[in-house]
Amino acid sequence: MGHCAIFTIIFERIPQRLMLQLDHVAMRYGEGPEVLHDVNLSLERGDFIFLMGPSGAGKTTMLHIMGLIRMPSRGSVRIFGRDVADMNRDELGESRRRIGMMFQDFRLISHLSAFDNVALPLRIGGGKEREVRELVHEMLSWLGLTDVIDATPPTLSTGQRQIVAAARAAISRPSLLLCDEPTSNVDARRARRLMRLFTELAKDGTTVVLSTHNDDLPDRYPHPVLHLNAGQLTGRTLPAKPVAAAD
Amino acid sequence: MAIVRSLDLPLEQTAVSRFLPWIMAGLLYLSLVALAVAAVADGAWELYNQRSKLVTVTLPGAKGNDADVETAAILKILNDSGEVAAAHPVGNDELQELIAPWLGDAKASDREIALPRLIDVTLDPLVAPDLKGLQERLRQVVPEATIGIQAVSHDRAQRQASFFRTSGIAVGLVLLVAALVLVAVITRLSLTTHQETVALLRYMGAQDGYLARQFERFALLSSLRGGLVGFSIAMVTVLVLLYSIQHLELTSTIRLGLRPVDWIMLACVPVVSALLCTATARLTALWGLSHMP
Ligand SMILES: Nc1ncnc2c1ncn2[C@@H]1O[C@H](COP(=O)(O)OP(=O)(O)O)[C@@H](O)[C@H]1O
Ligand SMILES: [Mg+2]
Repeated sequence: MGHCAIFTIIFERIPQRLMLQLDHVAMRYGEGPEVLHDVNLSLERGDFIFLMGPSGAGKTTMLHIMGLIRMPSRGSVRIFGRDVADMNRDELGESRRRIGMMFQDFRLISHLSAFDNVALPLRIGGGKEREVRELVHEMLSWLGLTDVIDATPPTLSTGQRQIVAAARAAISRPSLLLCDEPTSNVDARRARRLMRLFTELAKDGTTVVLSTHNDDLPDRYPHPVLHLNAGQLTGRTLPAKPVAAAD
Repeated sequence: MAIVRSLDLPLEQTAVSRFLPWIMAGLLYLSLVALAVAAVADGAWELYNQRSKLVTVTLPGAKGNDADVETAAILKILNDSGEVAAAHPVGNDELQELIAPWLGDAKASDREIALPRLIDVTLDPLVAPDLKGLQERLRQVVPEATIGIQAVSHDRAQRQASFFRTSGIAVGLVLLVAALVLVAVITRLSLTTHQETVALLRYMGAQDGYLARQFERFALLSSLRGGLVGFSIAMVTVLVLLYSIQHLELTSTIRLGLRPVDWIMLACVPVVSALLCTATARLTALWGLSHMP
């Protein structure tokens, strides 16, 4: 009887640690060519990885599959311990609410203020309006956007929009945070702020995946790098030297 | 920051939906005026209905015994007739009063002309009166006997009132149904127009209930705003109409107006229609979302 309890503990802990699992995932858009080939990947709670590859390698496609935005043409995706193919609409929504997605093209809602854009995931999750206000104000002031809190995206600079998009992805402290080239348009100081935000979330257990097409970030932050080339994961490099993330 | 939270979907900004409050105001205005006309007509109908229970039998002037015998015979016919509840000859003094304005102060009895004799007749409200048939029977005794001239004109006015009542209600209801159909159509079109944003919200995990609430809130706000504007202008219109009708004395016999219960009913229309619009938006949105990938 004793070892039964131990097995139970082990089996219950496995799905909790394992956040995301891609199994022989392949992807093609419509009748087009395959743009991802046989991708296999497991991510655990609190993992922080870079997804690196040149433009057109399939980084965005892969993040979209991980973020339950697109279904793969082949292979399976397990997230938070469940196969996505088995989820009904409500369960899919439930899983999506645990994912923070920062789109490469931001996808901010243009008639909503920076504040309301960032507040979206909290409101969708049914947060109380008072808490929503507090959290969003805190996040935007921490990221230095207090003065444009009521501005709409079309009136913001590209860099400001990118930070709003990052804030929106991170605001609900998701279990899985997916950021598509998050620092491509922001200055060095703001980039460090964003990286600090992502690092703090990872420390609290969020699994973070950042895509990038240059070596800059992985050189400065000590996280494993997955290399994606022409739709194929070609290798994994571990951090060469632990560099303290200065801020 | 706005007191009312912005909608996640730009329903107040896009052409398909932004004019909904104004269209609602227009539809509600027309609907309320039509319903007010119906209410006024209903009030008039009721008054006519009470009045038409009273008719007057007029006999030509005569003097002496003949007259009394004739009057008694006419009263007997009236009292024997099933449709008459009561019949009372109008007293001499009352008659004098009635004709005084035309004849001056001189006593009628001093004159050569005999006055016509009038009999007030109350009809049984439960029996449909055959006034022509009754008049025929009276004329067998007194050939010049006439009955209920006012009753005949009441009859026409009452038919008019009934027509306005029915058509007012019909037009009012058709306009309200049109408002609901409009909300449904605009909701469905908006869903298509904003499908990218809808998809984005779904990527963030928004359930259909959350998305439908956007349309619900928009419909509620639009129909309340439109309803308030439409109601205010409609009430001003109705008051002006009633005022001018009364002062032009278009209707001399009865007073047209709205009863307290009519005001209450009219005030309920914008509220009830706002609730129906909200429900329509919700159901349409949920139905549309369930058909979207
Ligand atoms: N919506 C789409 N429809 C068709 N092809 C697409 C679509 N999105 C991306 N692709 C193609 O998939 C490949 C990978 O693109 P993407 O995932 O955006 O790469 P990356 O983010 O690494 O630049 C490219 O060849 C691109 O043309
Ligand atoms: Mg990309």
